[in-house]
Amino acid sequence: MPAIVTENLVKRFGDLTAVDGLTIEVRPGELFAFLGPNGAGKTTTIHMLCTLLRPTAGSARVAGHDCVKEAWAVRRAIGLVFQESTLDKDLTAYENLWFACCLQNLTSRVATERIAEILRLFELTDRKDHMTKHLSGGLRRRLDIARGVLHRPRILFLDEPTVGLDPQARRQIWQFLDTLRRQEETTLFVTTHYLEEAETCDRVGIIDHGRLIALDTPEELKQVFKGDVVQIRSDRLNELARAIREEFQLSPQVTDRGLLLEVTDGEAFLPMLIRSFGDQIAGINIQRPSLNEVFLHLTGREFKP
Amino acid sequence: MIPLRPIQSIVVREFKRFFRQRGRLLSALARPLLWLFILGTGITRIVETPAGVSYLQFLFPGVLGMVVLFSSIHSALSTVYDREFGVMRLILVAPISRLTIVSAKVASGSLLSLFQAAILLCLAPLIGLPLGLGQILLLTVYVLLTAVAITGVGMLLASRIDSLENFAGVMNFVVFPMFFLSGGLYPVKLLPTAPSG
Repeated sequence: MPAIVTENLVKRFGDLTAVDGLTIEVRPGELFAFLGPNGAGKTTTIHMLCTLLRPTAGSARVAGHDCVKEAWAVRRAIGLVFQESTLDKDLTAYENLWFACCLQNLTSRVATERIAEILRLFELTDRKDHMTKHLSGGLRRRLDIARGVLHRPRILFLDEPTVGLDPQARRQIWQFLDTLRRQEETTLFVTTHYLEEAETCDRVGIIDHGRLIALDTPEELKQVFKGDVVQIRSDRLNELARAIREEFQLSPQVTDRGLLLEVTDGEAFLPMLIRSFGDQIAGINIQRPSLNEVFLHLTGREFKP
Repeated sequence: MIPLRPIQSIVVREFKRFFRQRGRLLSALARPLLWLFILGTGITRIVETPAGVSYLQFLFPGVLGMVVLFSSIHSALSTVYDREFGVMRLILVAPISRLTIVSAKVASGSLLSLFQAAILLCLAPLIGLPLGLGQILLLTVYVLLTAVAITGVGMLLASRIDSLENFAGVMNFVVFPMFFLSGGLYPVKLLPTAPSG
């Protein structure tokens, strides 16, 4: 049984279609990334899957239960970590966890054991009696996530779990998620607008303007590029683009980062390029394609959070 | 089966918050004293009351009512705060029914009101109102009923209010008119009647 299945899921707010015919399937135990720029419909999708919003059309099943008709059963099976912290800042770390356990109706004994275990896993034990408002952003985020898994949800939804954190704190969060996944076999559904984070996931769904535009493993997604991406800096991008198009029968794209070219063999291509246009080029860079190029390829514009 | 643990935890949380928010705690405790001893004492000098009842004594039940009114509304409106700062989302996504959530919120607001009313009640002997055990029990029932009703109204308002800024509106157009027309400050029968016809 898949962890999450949606069929033609639609959410409209008045004239705005936030999610437009989304069909996805997430497998149990998978680390699934939902990637898209801000306003693409990621949060709206999560809220529908977590029974907080009612879909306008289409259907969604989470852990085998219908998100509208069996909202109750869905809520039992999931954990949700919101984009903005939902901790009570006037409570200590421990009290926040305890409150969440009570809401899940866990008995005192189970709650006590589970909180101790989760505090250890997230390395928060020595912070447990700190007031939440005095914790740093990274620690608060960890506490938010820790609280989401107290009741051992089969599926954990995380809405931009690392947004606004410094690189070190972001790496740490991903390490904790990895540990969690290995120890508890939780299916993780993560939205992000950090491309490099999506690269490490099992599969990536790319969403733009409410539509799913790609869904595959990061490696497969990058297979649309047969070779390398060559990035060229120049003062006269448009002229150069035209010249390259004529000379090499390629289709360069003019972007903020300069001219982007897909070529089969970047290293062999460079000498030819420099021979023909060396005097117009201010700098060159060859990259293996990243999800950014995938996004550019699919939408014709740069990925901007 | 009634989900007691979730309800209990929501109530306990409200009490913890009440005691940890110093400003709210202090103003809740000071407000009745201001009304009683500053406003009350001043007005005592310019009004005539029937023999045997001082204006302070007349005012006391009114202030008791006011404590319940303010506290209950405030608790209900903490729902707006919860919604704005996210805690409500956590509660909404938990496997408990919406009815349970509202009940827990009403229970917290009512018990907090009762608690504050009880503190004020300790002052009754000071102004010459010795209360018997029976009267106290009866008062407890009245206070609790009033608190449940007002917290309920507050929850209704809270569900329609989308931001804390609208709190002032509720104070001006709901709480103060209710208090001034309640008969707590002066006998309602002294108010002019509506013109008939």
